[in-house]
Amino acid sequence: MLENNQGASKQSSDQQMQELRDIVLGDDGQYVTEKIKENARLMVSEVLSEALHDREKQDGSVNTVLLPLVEKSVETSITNHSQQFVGYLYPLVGSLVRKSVTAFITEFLEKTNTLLENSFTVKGLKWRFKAWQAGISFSQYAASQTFAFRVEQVFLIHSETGLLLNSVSYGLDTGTDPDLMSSMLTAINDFVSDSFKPNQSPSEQHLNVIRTSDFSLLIKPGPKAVVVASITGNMPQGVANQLQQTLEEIHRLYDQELTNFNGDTVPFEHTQNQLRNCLISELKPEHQDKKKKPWFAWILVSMFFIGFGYLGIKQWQAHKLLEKVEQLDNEPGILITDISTLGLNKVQLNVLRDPAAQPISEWLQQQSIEQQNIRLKERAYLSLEPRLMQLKVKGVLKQFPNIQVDWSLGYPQFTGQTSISEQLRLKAELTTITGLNLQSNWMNTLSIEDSATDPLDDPQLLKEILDIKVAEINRLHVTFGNGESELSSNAAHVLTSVAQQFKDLESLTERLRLSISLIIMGTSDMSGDHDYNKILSQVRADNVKSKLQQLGIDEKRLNAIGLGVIDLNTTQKDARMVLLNVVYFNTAKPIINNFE
Amino acid sequence: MMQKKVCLLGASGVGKTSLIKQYVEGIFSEKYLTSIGVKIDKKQVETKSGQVKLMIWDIEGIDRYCGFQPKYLRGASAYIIVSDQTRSQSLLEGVEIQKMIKEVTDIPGLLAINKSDLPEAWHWSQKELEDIQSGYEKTFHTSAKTGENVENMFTHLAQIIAE
Repeated sequence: MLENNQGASKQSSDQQMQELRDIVLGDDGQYVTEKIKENARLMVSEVLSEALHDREKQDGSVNTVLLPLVEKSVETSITNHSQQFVGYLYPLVGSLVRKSVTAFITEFLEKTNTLLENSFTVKGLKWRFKAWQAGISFSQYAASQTFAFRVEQVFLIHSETGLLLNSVSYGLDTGTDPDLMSSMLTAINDFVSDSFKPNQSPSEQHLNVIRTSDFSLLIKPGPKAVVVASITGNMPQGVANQLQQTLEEIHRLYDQELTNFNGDTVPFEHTQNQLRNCLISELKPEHQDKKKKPWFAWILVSMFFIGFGYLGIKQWQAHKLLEKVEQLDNEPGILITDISTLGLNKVQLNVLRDPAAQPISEWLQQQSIEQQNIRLKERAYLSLEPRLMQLKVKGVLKQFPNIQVDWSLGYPQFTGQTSISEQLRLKAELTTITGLNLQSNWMNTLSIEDSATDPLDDPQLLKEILDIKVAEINRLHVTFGNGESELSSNAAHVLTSVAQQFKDLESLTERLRLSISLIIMGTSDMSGDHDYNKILSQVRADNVKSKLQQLGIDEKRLNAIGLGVIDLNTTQKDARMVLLNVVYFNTAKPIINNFE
Repeated sequence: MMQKKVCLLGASGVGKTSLIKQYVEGIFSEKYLTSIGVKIDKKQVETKSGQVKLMIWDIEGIDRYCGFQPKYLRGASAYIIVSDQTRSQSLLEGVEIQKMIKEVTDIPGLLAINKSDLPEAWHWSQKELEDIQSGYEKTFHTSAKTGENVENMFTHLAQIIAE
């Protein structure tokens, strides 16, 4: 019964409580909710930034939530208003590109200019000297001269431990260790606040400014952290305000981290952004007013381009000259062995030139090429070029104004009127042209004038004929295979011709009352034993001699000699041969025709 | 990186500054010590829990007539009290200093019995010494002259506070 009563009374008191709640708070806390809703905007706005920061730091969820929302809204905007976006971006893209290019060039020019100015001008050198005198770096001294004031470094220090939480600087090496600097500053502050406490004042004393002749330390103490700025020059009030704002912001954003600081500075890495706001500076009026043109840099850049352009033009000219000179190779009897540019505007030219070819200097003059631009190295050689043959023949014909030559058949055909003696002289002249290989039928087209006297009565003419025929035999030789002494069919053919010509000579020398003989000289190359080669060369000469005997030449007129090895690099290949030399005697004294 | 503040205290002339000199290359000159009563050095130590940067506050020698600036202890993670085994008085003063420390903070401390290169010249009984040592995490017999145990002591200190 008692239990029932108790239960009933508890139930009624709960009910009363609920009724009371409903009266005060409204149904389901309606009044409270309404009241909160009324001020919701104000309440949320007061803590919105801090709450976002804390939550982002806690689990990074703010970024995760906002990212898709932002992406979606940007996407919707672009889809629905693409034309507008193009309109917005169009003027931006061009100006962005221009701006970044301009910024790059300007920065480059200014940096170069500053470097040059600081290195080469009187002011730069003076500053360097003064910085050296003062024992500070040049950049520090330059900053002190250029800025009315500048915040060089900003430190964020944990109040209780004096440990450095973060620091930023202009990048100048001030030689101070920020860790030690923070701790010392805290110790000095502790020392000062304790030593100069006025009359047991309950409030703790703090250092606010430490000023020396070179710099000031501006200290802004907060309950959990201290912001310190190291400033050069005359510090304006604005810096103190900025420091105060930064300190408050850091306290607001990093309240938890500052309270729970255990020596780990990682959570304070992002205070960099806030601290950077305190790195303010102001140029001295004289540096502010004049918007200097970077003359030094402009001069340097212009010089660079002018120099580069000059070199380019010179290079191009040298290349053109080279191309022009290369045409020399097409000239008959001239062979370019090496050609290259030399320095800026010269050409190195190495050529082989047949003495009969056009002189190089003459060619250069014809092409209007200045000879001083060509460094020429010329060596002589014999050219067998058909075009040069024509030139050589033409040269010979200058002595024979009545004789013309026609090359239309590929070989020279001589026409015109001439005498026998002239024809013989022409023949003699043409025989001297190496590589022409004169054929008797080339002169069949010449018409010979009748002569009153028999030319064969003229001893002078006979002598000329003799010389030509001797030269013709002397030009001939017989070659042999390696180690061989037997005559080849070609050799037999040559010797038949030799025998015939020699017989002609015999009759000619009889008329001139001369005695004639033929020296047959056998040679060998360097391969094999020296003594053997000597014998081999003799056998070769003997074989030629016996062949000529067979062909009807009197043995008395033949003289075979073995010369042995001909030790010349140039004759290496063709050294296995028999050479012929006609010798004729006038009186007791012989006339010897040297073979070529 | 983890940074920790530690303090070195002890009677005058026990060799606190010499101990730090032995341990780190002093950067600030000693004039700070004589003018404001503290000299600060730093040293990076490798512990099992990673690198720790020790900011070592060398607090000026204290004797019975003058106390020390308790604010210098603020935020410290540990302390070392240095005594000189050639002077009985120095250990007694160490005890006094520890009492003062205990009044303001409850951080771990080490006892350095310095000048171990010289013959012991105090007359503390083993029992008395043990009683005093029980108030510390660990005791090190050090010599600033030979370097004996100096490195060990600071490494141990870093290890305690890094944990």
